[in-house]
Amino acid sequence: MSIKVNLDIMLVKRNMKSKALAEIIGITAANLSILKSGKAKAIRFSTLEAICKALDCQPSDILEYVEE
Amino acid sequence: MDSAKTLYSILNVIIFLLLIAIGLGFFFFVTILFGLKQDFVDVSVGLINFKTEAMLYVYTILRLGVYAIFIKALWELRKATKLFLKKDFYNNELIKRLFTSGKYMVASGVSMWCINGISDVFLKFRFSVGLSEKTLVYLLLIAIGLFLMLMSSVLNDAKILKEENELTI
Repeated sequence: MSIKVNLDIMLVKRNMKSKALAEIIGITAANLSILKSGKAKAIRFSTLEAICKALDCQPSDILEYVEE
Repeated sequence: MDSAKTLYSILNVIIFLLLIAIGLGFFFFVTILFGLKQDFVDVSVGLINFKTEAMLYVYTILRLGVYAIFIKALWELRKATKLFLKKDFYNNELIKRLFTSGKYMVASGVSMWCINGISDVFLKFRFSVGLSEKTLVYLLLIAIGLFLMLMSSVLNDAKILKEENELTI
């Protein structure tokens, strides 16, 4: 997929665990893992908004377009 | 799901009856071929429509082959209906079985139509123009087969949508 998810990088920058983020944004750890691994087909605006709020970042910090 | 249950029962009955018919047909065919004496089937009655005995045998063998294909189609449909009863609609096996059933049903419909047409012209030396009742049955078989193939592709598309929906976080 040409959209890369940099969630793990942001988690390291914010020194936050995946489990904690999952709890804050209200999704399961399994779903967050799918998102982190890039297996997700789509992301809801509400989820993106919650992630940005929790990590205090912009959507561009999490999502990146990579030419294949 | 009641309709699926009814369909499953009907398919069981049809398959059972067809298997008995094929078994009996094969049995009598062998008795005729080996000249065994029996009072159930008289070749001379069958020969009324055919020019030679060999033509009757060719026709019978071809028909038995087509019936076998038709039973295979019904068998696949039966298996697919069983999966329908489990309410497991997005199953790869169900999609595959529906497609195979449709394919075999179209094949049996087309081949029955061809065999009938060819036998009319070349074996019975009879030619009829227009839609007979038999032709309508063959057309219906082909339509059912195509519908099953369509159902299979619809379920496949639904499966892809479901996967996409499930992987939307």
